[in-house]
This record gives sequence, structure tokens and C-alpha cells, in this order.
Amino acid sequence: MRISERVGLFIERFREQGGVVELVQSWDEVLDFIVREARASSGPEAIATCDEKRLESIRNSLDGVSRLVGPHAQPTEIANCSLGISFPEAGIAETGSILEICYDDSDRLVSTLPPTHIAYLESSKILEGLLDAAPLIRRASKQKAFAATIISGPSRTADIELRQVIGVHGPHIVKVILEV
Amino acid sequence: MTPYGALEERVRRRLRQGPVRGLYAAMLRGLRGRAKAIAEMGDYEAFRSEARRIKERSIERLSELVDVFSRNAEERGVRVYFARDGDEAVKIIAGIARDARARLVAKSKSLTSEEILLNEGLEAQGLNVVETDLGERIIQLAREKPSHLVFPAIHKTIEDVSQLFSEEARGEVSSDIQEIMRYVRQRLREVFLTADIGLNGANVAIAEMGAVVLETNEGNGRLTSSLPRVQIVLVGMEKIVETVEEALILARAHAVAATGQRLTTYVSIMAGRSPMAGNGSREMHIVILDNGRSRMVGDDVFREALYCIRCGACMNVCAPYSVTGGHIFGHIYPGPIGIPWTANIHGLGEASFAHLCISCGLCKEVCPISINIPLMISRVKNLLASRYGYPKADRSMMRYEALGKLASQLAPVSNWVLKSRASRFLLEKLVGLDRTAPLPEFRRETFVKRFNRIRQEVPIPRARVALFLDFFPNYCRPEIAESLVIALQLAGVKVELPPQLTSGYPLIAYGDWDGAKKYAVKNVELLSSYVEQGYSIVSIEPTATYTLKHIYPYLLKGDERAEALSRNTVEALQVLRRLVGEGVLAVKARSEKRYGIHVPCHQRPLSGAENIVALMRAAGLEAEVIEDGMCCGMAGTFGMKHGPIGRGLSKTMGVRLFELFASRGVEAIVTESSVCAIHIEDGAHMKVFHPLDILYFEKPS
Repeated sequence: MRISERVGLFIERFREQGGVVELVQSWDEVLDFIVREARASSGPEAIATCDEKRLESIRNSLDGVSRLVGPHAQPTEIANCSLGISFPEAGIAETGSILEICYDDSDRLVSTLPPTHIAYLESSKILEGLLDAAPLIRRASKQKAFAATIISGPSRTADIELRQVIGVHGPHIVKVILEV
Repeated sequence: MTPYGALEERVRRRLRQGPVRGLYAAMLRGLRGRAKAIAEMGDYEAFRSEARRIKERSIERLSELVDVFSRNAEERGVRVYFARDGDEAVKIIAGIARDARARLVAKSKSLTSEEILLNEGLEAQGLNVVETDLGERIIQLAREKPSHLVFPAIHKTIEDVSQLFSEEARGEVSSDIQEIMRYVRQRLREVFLTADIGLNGANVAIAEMGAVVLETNEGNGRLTSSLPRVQIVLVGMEKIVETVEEALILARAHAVAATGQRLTTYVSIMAGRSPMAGNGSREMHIVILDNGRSRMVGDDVFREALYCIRCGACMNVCAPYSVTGGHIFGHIYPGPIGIPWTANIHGLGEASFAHLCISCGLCKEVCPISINIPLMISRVKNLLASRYGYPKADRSMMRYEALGKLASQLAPVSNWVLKSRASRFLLEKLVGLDRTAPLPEFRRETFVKRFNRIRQEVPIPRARVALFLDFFPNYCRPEIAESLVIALQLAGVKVELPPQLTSGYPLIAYGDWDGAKKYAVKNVELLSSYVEQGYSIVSIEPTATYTLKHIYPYLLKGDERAEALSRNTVEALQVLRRLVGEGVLAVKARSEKRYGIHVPCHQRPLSGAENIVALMRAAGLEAEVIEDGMCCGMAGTFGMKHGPIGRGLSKTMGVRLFELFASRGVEAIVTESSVCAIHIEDGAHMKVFHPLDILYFEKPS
């Protein structure tokens, strides 16, 4: 499958599953998007987990808009954030999913506790099939401990009278900022 | 009261109340979602075979994989325990909690924990165990057991739920779904953040990296497995596979079959205990549970139950389950696969709900691992019979062949007797044949007696077939078999009628394995010489075809002749369709009507509706398959038995399909199964035909 087909399939399936995909063309656009989201969000804080270089640029962009918490913040702090920003290892076209690999559980909480989860993904990281994610997980398993999570949209339940409710214990909104 | 009597009582009560509310809709949702997801997957059968191979391999190497898994998890600093039974597992987990000085346990849904009554065990130690999956939380507050694997609280209305949460909150939580969700989120968020222990099961475990896989849609599993300082994972030992690739395939199979999702929203693969915000003083404990599983590995029949990935697809297609729900059709493990699990884990005495199985076989067809659930259930019935004896009506129904022969010899007197109210009353009392069940008319001149009259010599045959008749085409509907033979001979096909018994399927349905094997041995012996001479065995009744193709090779494992018979058995309509396709025969309709097609359960693993639809369309008829994917409720002789586990349940199961037929505005119904026809004609009040009643064949002009 060509990269454009993989990207197309990923977008189509992630959206079908209730996720949002925003296309951007540069890191500056990503920062603009994050600032817009932070401005629009109801809570006082945003949070990021990423390498120091990106962290700094996000922090600078959010200056005066929102406080940036983390990485490696305490769970109660993360629970008070309205936005979690994560940087998945990959996208999976076949299942319309993103793959996150974390080595500290506070990083996992970034995509679990805040009501909105924003995930930055470069289109070159989109894999075709679910099994293509296996080598990435195996690589992570070289570490003493890890948690790999394949996320396919916002959290959901239909446990009461089969009524579909989006947003239970995990995020209500999951947005992938896809750099193409 | 015998276990059967107690079960009858519970079903009787349920029938008076009507089917469990909401359950049928949940099942249909699962079935339709599954069908949609499969349609998108391309070669689903290849995927399914691969998933089965993974489970076969893993169970074959189970003790080795347990060792590898344990070693790899321990190398990551995880404490691994092996519990021989449920009590030991509860003790281990209670001990971990005591050492951690824990009070509050946040728990993610785990059927394995239900199996060993873990919550009750921990609560007895003074621990506060809170279920965090919404459905599980609802039934925990209601102090009930799950009634469905995927939707455990499906039997509760939103008003019930609002009341339960209002009681918990000591304030009003209205019956608005959003308000309920706000309350649940807030209440459980406190639990997640303050719990001392996070307790979860594992959908799969990966030996090569000592990892566990946890799937949840709500996100509760991510929180129970990350927030609390101590994480405990309870893993049934059969969940271990070797590689991460195998685990991903099973996770996909699980989601597709359970809900029709491509994957469950969150699939977490966790190995070792990660630090929290840099703090590494955290613990992970994995308890591997045996509780009878090792014994099952060594059992030729029940080993397959260990292949189960707990998707619940088998209960989504089970018609009697749709009426009774998991509280009756289940002990702790509900539904079809719950029967062998219960018999092996909780004891045969708890598995009497096996009698609710109607042997339609559909559970195997929807199972993503193709587990032979129907034959495991039959085996459970067999073991139940050894302990408690056969229920009276089951015993009578298994004598169907002798009774049919007698009724046919005495026809038309027998037909008159079978219509008399007094004799039907007596038959109900004596043999358990329900007095209101419609019965077929028996013919004095059976097909066997007619055959020599219609048989023609075919000097240079295009093909050679040997007919396998079964009960109805011989004793009750000889004209169907006659039409078939005439059409085949017209096409230049040589037809023989070997000496034969009926298929014996009712014996499998009621659990008489020795009896069923006798039928299998005899028929294989009688038909094999024809197979060896190059004859195709052409079978008219779907259940008979299914028995020859799928049941005999299982009963007579390793018997080459049974395998050859299976390979060479063909459906009658398939042969006719081929002859029409080859231009040897032309198919015509006897009358123009708008027909609805009913596909019998045992035909689904055969051709489904392909042949009947193709032939009817070729004859210029309008034909639409009308179905909900479940059994019509007749299930062979099940619907003729007196009592709630028989005619009572059968009628209730049928109602939905009858309504479906009525709502589509068809004028008549067509089906290849003679027993389905009797049931549907009675329930839907519509004429039901065999395809060979409404079609005829000519030489093409």
C-alpha cells in the first residue's frame, strides 16, 4: 500500500471510530493548533509529554495562554488538566489507531485523564497493518518496563440500554494532528 | 428436585415474564457489528484459521509457555504466583493486599475473577472492591451476576440504573444518561486516584516478553493498571501465547467477534511495573490461575474450551439464551461456551443449563476460533445423563426412528391417532410429546418403497449419485425425494438408494454419544462402498448433510472412510444448481409468488442460501432471505417436547422470526428443512414449501 493510501485509510478509519484528524504541514502549524485548543478549552491547564526540544517550543507558544505541566507530573496534576498532548510512536491504518509507548505511567495518564487528548503524528509513521506494530512493541520490550497502548478513538460505553456514550473514564475527544 | 426439574422451573418462570428485556437487541447489535467488520477484512476465514492455529499451538505448549512467561515477567521485577485453584488464588491476592496494607481495590472487568468469586473473598477480608467497568459496577451495586459477557447489565433499565446510583450517592442521580455518566465519572475518578490496588484480568498474556494485554473501551483498564501503587493481574493460564504478533491477532479477533470493532478502543500491552512520575517504588503481581485448566488440556473433547477468547459471539447467536439470558443460561460463565467451562471448572452439577442448548450448531459458526462448542455441549449432556439419566422427553425423541417406522407402517391410522386429542394427551403424559406441537403426516408408502418404481436405468450416466434420505423424505415427504430423483435422471444422472439408517443427529442433540456412534459406524459402513465406487452421496435434509459432513468425522476420529464420506457428501440443491448451470437442466416455477427464504441453522456451514436463491432466481422467482441470524426455535425435535424446555421455549424463540416474515409482506416461505417448515408454518401462519415443491426441472428447450 502506498503511503498516501495508508494515510487515507488511517484518516477514514480513525474518524469512523469517533476520532478527529487535523492536517497540518509544519511544526509551527502544530503549535498554532495547540494554542487554539488551549484557548478554547475550559480548564486552566494543558499538559505535554515529549522530548525537551518540543516541550520548550510548546511551553513558549503557550506562554500567557495556559500553564504546561510535565512531563512526569503527578497524577492529581494531570487529572486537573483539560488537555493532554502526546506523541505516539505510530499510526495503524488497518485499525484506525495510534500506538503509544510509555516507560513512565504518568505519560500514559496524559492520554487517559484529561477530557481532550491531542496526539501529534507524522504521516510517515503510519503503518499499514496491525502486525506492523509488533516490531515497535518488541523494541520497547528491551526496557525493564513499558506500556504500549493502541488507541482507536475516544473512550466509550453502551452498557446502559445499549445507548452509545462517548467519553467515559478516558478522553471524550481524541484529535490526531497529522503532519503531512 | 433434580437439576433438570429446577431448570425447568426457572425457564417456566422466565417464559411467563417474557424474554429478558434488551437482550435480543444487544445480541443483534453484536451479530450485525461482527458481520460488518468481517466484510471489511477480506479473507476472514484465513484470519480465523490463523487465530485457531495460535490457540492450538499455545495450548499444546501450555506448560512451557507458562514457564517462559513467568521467567520473563520475573526478570522485570514482577512477582509471579501460580494458583492451583480458586481458593489459592483468592488467598494469594488477599495476602498481597494485606502486605500492601490496602483498603480500596479498583477493579477492571475480569471474568476469571468472577470464576473464583474473588470479590466475595476479598470483601470477606475487609477490602472495599469497586468494579470500574460501568456494566460491572451496575450489577455489583445490584448484587447480581453478569447476564451477558460484553453487556453485563443489559437486563437493567436506565431507571434501574439511576436508582442504584442514587442509593449509592445518597442523593438523586436522575435517569438522564449524561447525568448518570457525569456521576459515574466523578465517583470512579476518586476511586482510581485513591485506590491502593489496581486489579485486572488479562485478555492475552505474551510469553516472549512476560507482558499482559488488557482491552477496555471505557478506559478504566488503563487507569486501574496505571494509577494505584500496586497492580495485580489475574490471568487464566490458557491466555498465554508465545509472541506479540499472536497476541495482536487475538486482540483483533476478539474485538471483531464481540462488538464488530476493528480493535477495542484501548489495547494495553504492559510488561514490568513502570515508575509513576519517576517514582519506582511500585509493584506488579501476576497470579496465573489453573483451576482445572491443566486437566482440560488432557481431555480430547474439552481441550477446545481453552481456545475461548471470551468474545461472547456464541451467546449473541444463541436463540434459547436470547430468551432466558445468562442468569438461567449460565452458572458463572454464561452462554454456549459457558457450558463446557462450567462443567469443568465449577462441576457437572452446575452445568445442567446444557439442556437449554438446542444443538443448532451456530455457536461454532460465529466463533472466531471455530471452537466445536456444540459437540462439547453434547458431551456435557452425555455426562449429565450418566449421572442423572435422560429427561423423559429426550429419551422418547431419541427413539424417533423406531417411532417413525411404526407410524408409517400404521398410516393412515397413525395419522388419525396423532390428530386425536385423547391420544395426544396420552402421548404427552407417556412420552413427553407436546399435545399442541404440530406433527407431520406419515406415509404408508415410504420413499424406499417408491424408489424401485421411479428408478430408471441410465446407460451412459453423466454422474452417479447415491441418495441419503433421512427421516422426513422417507417417512413423511417422499414426493420431495421423488422430484429430486426424477430431475437427476432427466439430466442423465444414475441414482442409487443404498441401504441406510437416518442420520442419528437427535442422539447427538440429546447427548447419547454411544448411540450416535452406532449410527455413524453403520452409515459409514453402508455408504462407503458407494463412495469408493465414485458415487456422490446426495443428501436432502440440511441436518443430515451436516451430520455426514461434520459430525461423523468427529465421532469417528481418524476413520478414513468417515472422512471420505464427508468429502463426497453433497447437498441435493447444489447438484441441481450445477446441472442447471451446465445447461443440462432448466428450472421452472410451479407458481408465481413472493417468497421469503428461511435458512436452517445446519445449512449455514454448508451452502447457506446460495443454492436455493440461485435456483429460484433462475426460475424467475422473487426470493429474499429473511433472517435474524439465529435459530427459528424448532431445532429438530426440541420444539416437539412438552414443557418449558421444549415447546414453551421453542415458541418464544420463534416469535421474532415469525414477526419478521409477516413484516416483509411475503406470500409464502421456502426452506429446505422439513422440521423448520412445520414450526414456521404453525407459528407464522403462512404456507411453507420445500424448494422442490415449488420448482420443477425440464430438459432445456
